[in-house]
Amino acid sequence: MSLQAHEYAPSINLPCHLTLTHPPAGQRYDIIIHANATTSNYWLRVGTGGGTCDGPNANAANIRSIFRYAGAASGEPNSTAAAPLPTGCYDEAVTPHVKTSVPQKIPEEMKVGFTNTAGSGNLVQWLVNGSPMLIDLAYPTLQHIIDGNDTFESRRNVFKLGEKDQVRVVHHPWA
Amino acid sequence: MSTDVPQWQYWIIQQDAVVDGPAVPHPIHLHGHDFYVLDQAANTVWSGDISRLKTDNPIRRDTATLPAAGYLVLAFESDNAGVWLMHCHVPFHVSAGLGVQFIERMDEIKESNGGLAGVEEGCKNWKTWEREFVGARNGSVLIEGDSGL
Repeated sequence: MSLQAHEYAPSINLPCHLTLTHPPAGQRYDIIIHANATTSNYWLRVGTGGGTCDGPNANAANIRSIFRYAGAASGEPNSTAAAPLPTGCYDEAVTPHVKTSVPQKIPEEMKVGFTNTAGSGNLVQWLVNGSPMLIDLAYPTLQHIIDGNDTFESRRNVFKLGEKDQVRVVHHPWA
Repeated sequence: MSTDVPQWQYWIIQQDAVVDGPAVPHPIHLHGHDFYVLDQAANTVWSGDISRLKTDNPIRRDTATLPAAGYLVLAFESDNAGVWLMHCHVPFHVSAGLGVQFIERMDEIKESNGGLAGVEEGCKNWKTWEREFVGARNGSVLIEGDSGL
């Protein structure tokens, strides 16, 4: 197969017989499958990253679907994997078809941390700048906008950007 | 009608040296935008050297990997007024807090995208439902440690 686009951004084509490694959760690729093999049934296999992405998967060897050529007999394929399923969790090295240049400036930083001691018991939390995000379902952020209220609790993990005369990201959540 | 000029936004997302938890990659997903991937590396701290940034035709997408115990540098233009999320796309990681929300060009949000009447209507319906079915029980649909996302 060959790759045409990633999340709708057209890519310069990669060669045929591409094996996508394990796309992280949320990534999407547009591909073309070149149906030039012998008429038969084939397994399409999906690797889960070998446990290095979002944890081990006890059923990793059985995440499959079937490609059936027109005219092939019914029944399960007997095709075997050409190589061990890829492990790891990496972005594909793709080149956008529409060229863009980004100005070189100094980025702002936010830190991702982890704790399993927040709250009571062994609660597991992921933190951004020390704060695990918690939203208030009773008072959505857009309701703040409607009310003209720009005061947010720090645990809402709110950043404000793109205002007039403001070049940089405000990267500390408001207290 | 937009009145502000879009500005380039540059973010570094740095995973701390993890003391008592797993060093795992996180697929970082942005709402409202594609972003440009300027740099990413595992098991290291961003050096601050902007000559490392790939600014000539960088990959443009809306989900990119923050490598384990490393960093991701991304850029996007503030050309879409609204309230947007940036979060880890692993469901149980965003549930456990790995997300931020950013308010982009706040002064334009009410007038953009046809106004917020639909949001107000949705909130009204939600509040009625919450008062009727949730409030009387324990006051929230969220359990402790659930970000709500």
